[in-house]
Amino acid sequence: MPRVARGDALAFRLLAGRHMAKGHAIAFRITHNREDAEEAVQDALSKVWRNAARFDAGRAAFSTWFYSILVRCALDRMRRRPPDAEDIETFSDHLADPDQSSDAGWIRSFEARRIAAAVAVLPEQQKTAVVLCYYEDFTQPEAARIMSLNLKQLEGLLFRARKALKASLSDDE
Amino acid sequence: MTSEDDRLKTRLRQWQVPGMDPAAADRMLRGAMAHPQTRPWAEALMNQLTRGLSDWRYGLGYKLAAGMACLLLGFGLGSAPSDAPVNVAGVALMADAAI
Repeated sequence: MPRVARGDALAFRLLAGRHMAKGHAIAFRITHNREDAEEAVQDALSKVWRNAARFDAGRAAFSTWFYSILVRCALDRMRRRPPDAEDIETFSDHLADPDQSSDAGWIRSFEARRIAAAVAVLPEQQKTAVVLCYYEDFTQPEAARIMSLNLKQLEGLLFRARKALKASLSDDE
Repeated sequence: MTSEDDRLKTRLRQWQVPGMDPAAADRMLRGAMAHPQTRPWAEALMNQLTRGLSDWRYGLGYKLAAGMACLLLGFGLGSAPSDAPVNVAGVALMADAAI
């Protein structure tokens, strides 16, 4: 990071390269839209580049800092354009199973679409907690730091999210 | 977490998202680096000034030094009166000439 703060483009590319794929997946799951996810990642990277000199390694790891910026950018994008049915239909193209011609492939794709729709309707804090802990394998303390919450609050969010997901995914089984 | 929760977590994983396009990654990096970086010294200076004005103990050494400098300058100006007597008649003549 000190090299990035001095304007070293190569150092920035290396550092960003380590986190971009994961960041994109987080932003995609929050915004449910490829374009918004890319915009959110770009916003986060711009903020990191501009404010590199403000980063304090003594306060947080770079990854925590980056993902907390990214989550805020993704939520901002989502607030501007909340996911609707059209979004979910559109991004279902990206869920397409390569073997969709078979029944098993179709069922997998259908199930993925149902899960995506169930996650999409969660309140934004619950959705973020689910994305960080259940999809991107952050530990609960890490996710709590990224979301600027304490551990109890995060556990509460995950508990409510699990309850809502179980209800919405079992309704039409 | 119960086994039911574990099953839910496994089930959620069936929702896979597409990877990022490498061309998009490069575009994003270039876009991010197109912005100028903030200069931290200006911000640090502003922070210190703000703190210095709101917290009397912050930067006390500098404040005392600045106070002493002001005091010395003040004494310097105040303690150097001119010894020459004022020529009242001359001043009156100059004033007349000006009118």
